[in-house]
Parts: sequence; C-alpha cells; structure tokens
Amino acid sequence: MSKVFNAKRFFMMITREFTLNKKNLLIIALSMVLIGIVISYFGAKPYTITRPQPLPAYTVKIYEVYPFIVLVYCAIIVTYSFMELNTPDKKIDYLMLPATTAEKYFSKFVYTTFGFILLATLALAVNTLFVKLMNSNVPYDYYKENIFIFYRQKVLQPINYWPYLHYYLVLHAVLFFAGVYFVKLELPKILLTVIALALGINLFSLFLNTLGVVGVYSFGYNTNFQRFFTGYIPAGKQISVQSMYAIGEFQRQTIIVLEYLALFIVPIFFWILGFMRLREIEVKDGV
Amino acid sequence: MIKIENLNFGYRKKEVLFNQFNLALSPGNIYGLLGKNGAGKTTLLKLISGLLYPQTGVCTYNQILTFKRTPEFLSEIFFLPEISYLPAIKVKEYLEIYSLFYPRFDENKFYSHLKDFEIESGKRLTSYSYGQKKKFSLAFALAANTKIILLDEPTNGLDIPAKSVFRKLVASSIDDEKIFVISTHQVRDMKHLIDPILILEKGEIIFNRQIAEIEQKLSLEFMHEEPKPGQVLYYENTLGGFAVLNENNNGSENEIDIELLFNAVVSDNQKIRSLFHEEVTV
Repeated sequence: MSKVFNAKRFFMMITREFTLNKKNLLIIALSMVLIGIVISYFGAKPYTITRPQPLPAYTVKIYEVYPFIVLVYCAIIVTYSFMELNTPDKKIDYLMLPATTAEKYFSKFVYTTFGFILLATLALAVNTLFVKLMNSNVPYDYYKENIFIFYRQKVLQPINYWPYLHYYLVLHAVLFFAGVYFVKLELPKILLTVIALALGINLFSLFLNTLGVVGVYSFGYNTNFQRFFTGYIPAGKQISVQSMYAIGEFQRQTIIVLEYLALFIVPIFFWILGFMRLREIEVKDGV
Repeated sequence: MIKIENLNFGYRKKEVLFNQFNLALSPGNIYGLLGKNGAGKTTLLKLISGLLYPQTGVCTYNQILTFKRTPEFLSEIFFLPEISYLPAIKVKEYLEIYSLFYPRFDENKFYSHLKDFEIESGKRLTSYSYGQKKKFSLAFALAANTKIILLDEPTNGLDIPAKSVFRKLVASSIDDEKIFVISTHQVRDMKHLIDPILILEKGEIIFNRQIAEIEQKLSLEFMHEEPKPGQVLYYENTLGGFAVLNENNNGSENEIDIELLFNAVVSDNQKIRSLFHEEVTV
C-alpha cells in the first residue's frame, strides 16, 4: 500500500502546498474579508435608515453574495492549482519530487477543497468579528443605524450552504481537471471550452430541429438544448392533452433525477479524469 | 549501477535520437558527459532520471526501471537542470519542505556548502541572482546525499571562485556508492574532476575512457611549427604555436587537455578509436 500512498509523504506534499501558496492564501483571505466588509457596509444601508426593525428579506439575500464570492475564488485557485506543470523548470521540480501520483494529486485536492473551505470560513469569521466589534463601538443613538451588518445565523446554517457546496464540488472537479489538462492560459482556455461546448450543443439541437423534429412544446424551458431534452414530438404525430401532460411530468421528474445524478457523478468523473491525466503526465509525457 | 540497454528514443517518431543505445554507469565515478549542442546530453540525463520514456529498451538503476519513477528511486536521485526552479520562499522554509524528501539529507553540510559559496541564508530565494540560485541549488543537491546526482551545465553562471569551490565540493562528496554525471560544455571548469570522459555524438557514445588510460595513450605537446599531415593525431592553433595531441609512445605521465581531446575525438574519432582499440565502449 505504501507504494501507492504513504501518509508521511502525503503530509510532506500537503506541507509543501501550503508553504508555497501561503502568500497567495493570505492575499485571498484578506481580500475576502475586505469584500465581506464592503458587503456588510452596503447591506446595512437600505433598512437601517428607514426601517430599523425587522430585517427585510432581501437584506439577508445580500449575504448570499458571500458564497458566490467563494465560488469565484475557488475557480481561480483550482484553475491554477497545477501551475507547476506550466514551465519546464517547475515541471522538473514537481515531477522529480519523491512522491507517487496519488500523493501529489490528493495533496492538491485537499489544499483546494478542505483547505480552501476552511480559509473561506475563517475569512467569514474574521469579517463577522470585525463587523460586530465595529457596531458595538458605534454610538447607535447618534447614527440611528448600524454601520455594518453581520452575517445572521440563518446564513450560517448548513442548509443554506448545501447548494453552494454542490456547485463548489462540481466547479472544483471540472476546473481541477482543466488545471491538469491545460498547460498554459488555463482560465481563458476553460472559458473558451465552455463557450464552444454551449455553442456546439445549441447548434446540434438546432440542426435536429431543422431535420424535421418539430412540434415543440415547452414547460418553461427556453433554450434549444432544454427543448431537445424535454419536449420534442416527431412531426405529424398526434398526441392527446393528457398524454402530453403525462410526458411532461415524466420529463420533469427525469430532469430532477438527472440533475442530482450530475451533481454527484460529474465531480467524481472529473476528479478521476484529472488523476488519470496527471498519471499520464507522470509516466508518459514527461518533460 | 545504472544500465541503459537497447534504448530507442526520439522526440518525434521519425527523428530517432538514440538508436539501440547502451551504456553502463558504475558507482564511485564522476562521469563527464561531453557533446556538441543537440548531441543528446540533456535528453540522456532526463532518460536516466525517468523524466522521459524510452520508446523501446530500458534504463535501470539497481534493476529498478527508472521511468516508473517510484518514490524510492526518486529519493535516491537528484537531477539539477541547467535552469532550476526555486520558489519565492526563504532558505529555511525551502529546507523544511524539500529536505524531508531525501532521507540522508545533511543540514549541516548544506549550510556549510552555502557558506563555502558565500550565500546568505536569510534571504528569499527569488531575490538571488542567477549565479546565486545556481550555487544554492548545487549546495542542496550535494547535501541531499542521493546515490545518483545528475548535473546539467552546473558551472554556467558561477563566478571564478565558485567554480573552484564547486570542484572541491563535488570531489569531497563522491564515495563508492555514488554516481555523478556532469553534462557540460565548460570542460576547463571540470579539470581534475571528471573521470571517466563520455563523449556523446548524435545519440551515440563515441568515447568512454578513464583519464588515466587516456593519459597513458595520448600525449599533449606544443609545437611552434604546423605539423605535417599524418605526423600527429590532432592539432589546433593556439597562441604562438600549435597544441598537438599525439600517441604517447614513451609512457611518460602527462596531463591531457580535455577540450583538445574532445575536439580530436569529434573531428576524427577513427584515429583515436583505433588507438584505444575501441568499439563503442559499453
């Protein structure tokens, strides 16, 4: 087992990751705190001046921007997590490290998942602490408002973060793979690939449409892609209203199941693909 | 022992660099790997370290296939490329994260080497100049105490005193278990250090001999007048005359100029080969 995965070497790789990236992590954490404070500041304004109590619903929504910021930072960190493969000197340094592919891969995986989530949580905690401290020292009677607003308990409940965690994992898996796959200019290449894929799917569905697959009906889906998967009926076919609704319901349920499957299968699929690509670099491509 | 057997390699399928290449490197030696640009020196080092993969044939270290790059093998080899990467951290941090990968890493030796190279250890690595980075990497490579040390152009960028320090440190680092392979164009920097001499030409080892044997069979002379054709094995114009490489008929001890030897072998290696009764040595 130690030939594939050795805990000591894995720990050494993790230490290396955090030591080499600590400056970047510090910058990211500080900027997250700063952005959080800015959001808190502007989030306090709409309600405190005119309606001090209670909080209107949309104010809480402002804080849901924070998980979105986390996703953006995730995209940046994960995309550039395999920077060592960018230049020959860095690549030699990385590939010559006495560790297995699994140890190298999982050290980056842990750094970009647990490590980054921990960092984002810490940044949120620091931001909350700062905002609370500021508010408690502001003469409320004078300003008639809080300068900042802190993250309410509702936002911090796990249930609120669950969809974001899903998005995070999907985003992480796709970008992690892309980080290994694209040697240089990762982010622009990823964006171009996504645009090309979206265009391709739309063109394909448009092509099918022109072939005579007509009689489109829709349950609120707008794109060709969604119509293609949800509501095409072959031309010239008769269908009863009941059957149409039955098919629609079935399709709706299918899509829900597919969405859930995608949330679990897509990350695993891309993580495995990423590992295989790194292994390929290790034992086939070289430098 | 490093063994390369029947190795074929090319960066493109139709351009073969190494064709049925064979070489054996024994412990206790500092091999000087010489060759023109594009002869395949760096490629050979990468093949030995497992960074490149033979199309056919094998490269092994003590029966371990190097291209599998197992952690056990990688912790026994240190490959220092011509331009090496140093991250933006301090010396102490670098030591903390990289030295752990090498079980016999000697920290005292490392700091002693840094001192010999006159490198300040409190600085950030990226603040070093090119030469200082090279010195740092050399100090680390030698302190790692690995069984195989591959150095690609190690003296490029080193100042004159550092070249002397480098020779001293390498000479003191070699023991019966270690294999050093130094690929270089700066043969004068390697004087009294590299032994045996390997000359690589178009993916083929055309010369592989110990210095003692070379000095026994060849002599270096200086002539004021240009030698007649066939009179000597090889000669070159030098300041005020001609440096001549000739057969050592009287068995006297003499020192060979490696640069002259290299030029002689590369320009007309048949004469030298016949003198050493050399097929290509394996």
